[in-house]
Amino acid sequence: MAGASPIIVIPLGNRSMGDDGVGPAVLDLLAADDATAFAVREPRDAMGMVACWEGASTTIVIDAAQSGAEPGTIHRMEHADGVVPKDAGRMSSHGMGLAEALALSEALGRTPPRLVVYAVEAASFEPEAPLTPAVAAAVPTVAAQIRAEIEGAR
Amino acid sequence: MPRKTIKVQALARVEGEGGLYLRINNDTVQDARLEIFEPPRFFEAFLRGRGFMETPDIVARICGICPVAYQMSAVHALENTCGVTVDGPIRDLRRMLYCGEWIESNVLHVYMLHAPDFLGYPSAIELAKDHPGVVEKGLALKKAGNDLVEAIGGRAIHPINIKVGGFHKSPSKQKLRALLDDMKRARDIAVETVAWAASLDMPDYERDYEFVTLRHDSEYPMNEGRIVSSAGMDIAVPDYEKHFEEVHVPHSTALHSSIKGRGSYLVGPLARFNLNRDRLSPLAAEAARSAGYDRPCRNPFASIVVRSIEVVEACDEAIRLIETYSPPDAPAVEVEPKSATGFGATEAPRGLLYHSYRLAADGTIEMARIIPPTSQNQPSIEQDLQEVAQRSLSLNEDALTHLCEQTIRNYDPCISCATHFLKLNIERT
Repeated sequence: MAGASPIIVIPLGNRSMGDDGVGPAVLDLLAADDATAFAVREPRDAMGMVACWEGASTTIVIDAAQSGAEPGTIHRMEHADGVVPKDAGRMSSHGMGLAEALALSEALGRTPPRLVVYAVEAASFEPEAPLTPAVAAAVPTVAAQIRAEIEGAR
Repeated sequence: MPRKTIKVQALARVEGEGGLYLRINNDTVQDARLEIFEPPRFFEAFLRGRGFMETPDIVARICGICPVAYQMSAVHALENTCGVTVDGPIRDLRRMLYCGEWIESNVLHVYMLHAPDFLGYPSAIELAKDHPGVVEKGLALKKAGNDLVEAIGGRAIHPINIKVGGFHKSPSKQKLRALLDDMKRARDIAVETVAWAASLDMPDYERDYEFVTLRHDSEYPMNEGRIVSSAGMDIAVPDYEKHFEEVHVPHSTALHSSIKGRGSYLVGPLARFNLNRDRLSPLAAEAARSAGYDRPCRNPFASIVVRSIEVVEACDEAIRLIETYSPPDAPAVEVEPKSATGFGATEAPRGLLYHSYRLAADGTIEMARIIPPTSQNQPSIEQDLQEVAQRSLSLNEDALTHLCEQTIRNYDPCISCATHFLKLNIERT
């Protein structure tokens, strides 16, 4: 992954927790296909997230979602005031998530110029379980959409 | 004050999911509890039947904030089981890695979780709006710690480069030296942070804790040492379970620890600092002295200052080790499994982290025991809560609730780490 790339991809989620692993699974496909078009960042928390999108022209976050939609539904949100839900990322038991990172960035005047969030509706967060079929089926589609996004942003 | 109950269902700015319960009757605090209802984690059971070499990757998953601590206690305990001692540059790399995690974890707590309490903000986001310079310092420091963990651990979350016996790959001299400029800047900021933290208004509260920490012959303790206490305990790590016990309490999915026959104790920054101040680097000792911290500190609210002093120590130690580093001939020593039981304890950012393993001759784990700092501190947290609340009953309910939450945050409790008990049992009144 090229360290100086202005396009940053952040896969959020844990491979060991069922559909929470959708972000890393999409990244696997992206990385296998084109390893030079973007940089991957894996921040530990909101502070890390604020630092890692510094200098990026486009930041793409991939995460699992729980909104009540059909499992496997792909949500695409672009950050422009309020488009990313205020409680996005609160699923983590380790405190601050994406919404807090964005709010912190704004408070510090470091809002990323362009932030796109892909969130795949999850069915299960069972420990040690693989992705459920509907979510696994969405992975190639999300990867293709992000690939197009990266091509368009270059 | 008539009978009343204060409950905070979900505490903010702590790692994991916990609540606060306080029962007050006729001006007496009758019950004060830190309720932990994070789902039990079963890690000790997960490990049984797995190969011992898998352990560092499995235990890294216990915590997203302090995975290195779990990995370090695990490798030391397993090397002890197998009769292997790791020294030289591999040992130095481990210490550097631990410095990185201490910086990250302590800075996260100082700036993002604890500072808003002292400055009157509900969160670091509101704090950042009024004091962006303060939070920017935190970000710069945290990044230096993060980069060090990534350079040695392979990645910043759940490092993948750690193995029993050492590392899968050792970093080059150049790779670590490239971090030096940022780490030196971080050290300067860390020194400023101590002075800033010491200038905050501290609630006036002290308690006569029994402090428990590792103590090493010459180093500020991270990876090695004997277990010592302010009441005169001085034992080898394998004797831990002879002196400490864990009990289940109904309102928590974390076990409570106590010293047999004596009760609660305290691990973490205050304990390390009070019993190892003479092991601080000259720079960290000077930063402490300038801030007025040249004697034992028994005020848990002042842990924000002590954590900041430890960040200076960790930056300074990382710089010293990077400057003298030459890669080891091999990134790890060979470790052959043995049918035996072994023990290890290291100083996680939140305090003493004890591991013990029993292996079969082929290296299969037969028993794993992991005692994290938060479960060791839980009885002390509840005693602080009871005393702080009792002294502050004249406050209105909002102010009292906030003070109690702050009392819990003093400990930077990592609830996710602490919950490994098998039975979920929440008491409600």
